Amino acid sequence: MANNNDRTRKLLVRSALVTSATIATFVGAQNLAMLDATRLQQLLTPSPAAVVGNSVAVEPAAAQIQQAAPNLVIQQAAPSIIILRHGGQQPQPVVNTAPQAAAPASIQPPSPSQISAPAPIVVQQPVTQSSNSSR
Amino acid sequence: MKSLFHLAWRAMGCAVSVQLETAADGHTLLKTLPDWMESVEARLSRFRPASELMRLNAQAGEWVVLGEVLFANIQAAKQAARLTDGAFNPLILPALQASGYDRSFEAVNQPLTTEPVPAMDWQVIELRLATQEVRIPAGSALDLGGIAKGWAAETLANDLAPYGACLVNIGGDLVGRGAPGDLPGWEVQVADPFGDSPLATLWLRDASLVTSGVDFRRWQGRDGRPHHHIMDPFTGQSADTDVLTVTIYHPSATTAEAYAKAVLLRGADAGLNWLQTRWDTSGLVVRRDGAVLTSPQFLARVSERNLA
Repeated sequence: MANNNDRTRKLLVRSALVTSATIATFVGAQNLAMLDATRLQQLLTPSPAAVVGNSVAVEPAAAQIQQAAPNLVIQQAAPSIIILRHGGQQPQPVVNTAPQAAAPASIQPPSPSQISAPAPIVVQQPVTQSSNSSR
Repeated sequence: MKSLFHLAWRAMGCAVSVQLETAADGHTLLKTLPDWMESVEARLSRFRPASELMRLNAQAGEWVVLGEVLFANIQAAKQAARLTDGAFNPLILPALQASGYDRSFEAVNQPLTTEPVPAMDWQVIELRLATQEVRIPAGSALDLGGIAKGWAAETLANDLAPYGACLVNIGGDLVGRGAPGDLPGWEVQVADPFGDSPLATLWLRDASLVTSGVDFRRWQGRDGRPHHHIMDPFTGQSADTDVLTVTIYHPSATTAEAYAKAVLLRGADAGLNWLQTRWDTSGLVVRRDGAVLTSPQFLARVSERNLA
């Protein structure tokens, strides 16, 4: 009989311990979750104080972008064009322009092209070539 | 012992010059070039109704199998359009025809018969690499313009380069490979449209120098408006620009041709600024008022200049 009472008492004590430990764990976990939720809430909707704090961190980045932009636009590129000759002091260009009333001149390439080219010649010096609009 | 061979003739409507320094038989190498040029022109010319290009235009809307030369040129033209955001547009032919620039000069002087025709978006040109087929939309037509000249000059130079240093000049599109003798390169000049003295002299080695401009092939229509052969693909009219000529230095002659067109359309200042955003290129611009502008990179290549 006494053994049965002891067993019952021990069972009750163990049950109480397990129950209290479970409750403690549950409460602890809930507290931790609430702490995370509070932190998350602060991050997502910062308080006025947090906005001020964040703005300090954001503003330098924005300032950097604003400073970089003028270096990227034409203002920086324009001075890199070098003027070798100013305009307005030159004669009219040497153009191959037929006046309206001039005799008709063909702008078509000869057809067929000249294919009976002269034989290649041997030269002593390279012949300097000029790059101009095709003519 | 190396000798320097020189051959000059006319093709593609302009003067052609080839110089080759070689120990091989230069006569044999060079004398085949006019025939090769003629075969290229026969395929690419828009002035020849029987050319492969005009046959493709006649079959707009259909897939057409092309030969290597025309296919390579259309690829280069499409790349040029891509590099210039459409400032160079090979679908410009209807605009040229509408402006009257498709016939002899007496006909060019006739009034415009149609409204300006902006070019279609170049991206509608479809290519099938595996079968070498091309399809352009119905109602459109291709004109390769300066790309064909640049491609021909580059191809000639690349073909001759294994035999020795060479310089090819097709109507102002210069391509140099190697250097003759102990020189730093081929001595070339930038012409001044306002005079006979060159604007600048520089050494060209494994690179291209291309000039394009509105100082040539200009006319005034009976509508009183000036016309020239550089068309703005976005408006379908002669480009409204302060640029008279633009000279571009670039490793590739076809790219240089495209960049020249882009600078011309953008105008002197904006064009040179845009050019400096491109890789490995530089340029010189002569404005209509006579001013000469360059990018610093171009000036660095100049060995002599006749300007202050």
